[in-house]
Amino acid sequence: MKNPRYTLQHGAVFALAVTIALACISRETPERIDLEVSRVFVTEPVTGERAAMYFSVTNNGDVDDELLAVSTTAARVAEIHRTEHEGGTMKMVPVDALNVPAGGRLDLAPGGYHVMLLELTQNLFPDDRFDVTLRFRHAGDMVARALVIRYEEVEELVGGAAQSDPHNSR
Amino acid sequence: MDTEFRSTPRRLRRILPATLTACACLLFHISCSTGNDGASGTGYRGWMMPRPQAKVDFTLTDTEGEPFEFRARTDGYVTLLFFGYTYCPDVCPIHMANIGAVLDDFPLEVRSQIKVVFVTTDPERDSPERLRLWLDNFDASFIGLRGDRDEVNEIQIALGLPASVIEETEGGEYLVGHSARVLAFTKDNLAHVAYPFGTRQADWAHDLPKLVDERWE
Repeated sequence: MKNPRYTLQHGAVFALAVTIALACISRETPERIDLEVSRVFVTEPVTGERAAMYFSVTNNGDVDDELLAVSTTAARVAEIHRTEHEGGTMKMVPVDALNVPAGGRLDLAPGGYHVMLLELTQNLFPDDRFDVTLRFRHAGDMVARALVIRYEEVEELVGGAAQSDPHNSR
Repeated sequence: MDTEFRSTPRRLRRILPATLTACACLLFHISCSTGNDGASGTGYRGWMMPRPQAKVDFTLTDTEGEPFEFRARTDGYVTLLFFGYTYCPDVCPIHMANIGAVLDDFPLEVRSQIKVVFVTTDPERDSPERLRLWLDNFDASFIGLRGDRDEVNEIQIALGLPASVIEETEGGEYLVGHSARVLAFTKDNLAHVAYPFGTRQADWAHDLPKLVDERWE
């Protein structure tokens, strides 16, 4: 305390040492990949041939991940779509991948993102369940169980991107 | 005693503004609440149109193949008008399903004063049979209308809605961009309120009986 300049230098050296030590630790600790897929819902295909799927992906790890593809035996084609709001109209636009930031969550919801299941291979009725595989860049393939719901149940079970956040889908 | 006496006005000075604010809030609340009651045109959960939109006098074909004169056939009813298509992934079916679910819970006297009209923006793929099958899933009383694309676009523009946009995709399929808004015409044949995508069943349940009783006085 008698020599504040000395203390300041001392502190700076200490801080540097801590920073280096932390950097070493984080380099040595393997990056943790930890994704959780939840609330997988598929809307009842009213006219038989296609259905929309919604789910949430929570990234509890410390690596940004990306949803690359979705597949299921219940449909020949599964495309990731974004609903685009433009000049008072809405339209679907296919997207290649969806980001799942570390510590964040990806929500697919009406008015925002959905997976379109095309060319269904089986009849789907409310309360039916089937497996879907989600492919991530880092986490690899994850299998989740989807539940078929009625459209009138969507607002309660899935919610909507449009109502909670009008700017959700850019 | 003395200090207490002197502190009173100071306390009052502190309390008075808060009390006045509270009174003002209460008055405001009361005036708003009375405004919400009955047919006064306020308190709707939908979007109030800056200018009420008049019905357009168009005739399209219903799912039975019969002509449907929109203005004449919906006169005297609360009429919900929506433009969409049956291949639509979520916006169209969720709107229709939510309205259908709410109508189910209304007493017949309210229910019988409401008509729902769905006009397809994708007449090539939405055959009358397909349109009927799709609408029946939500409510068998929903009216499905078809016309050629230009005709339907003209109607949308006349109603102040954007025209539908068709875009080809790689697989030879196409997407139909369309307005996500339901127009609610009251018995005066004007739409004062519109409902965006995201309108919940609770909002419909709140607004529809009000629209039935509405006189816009």
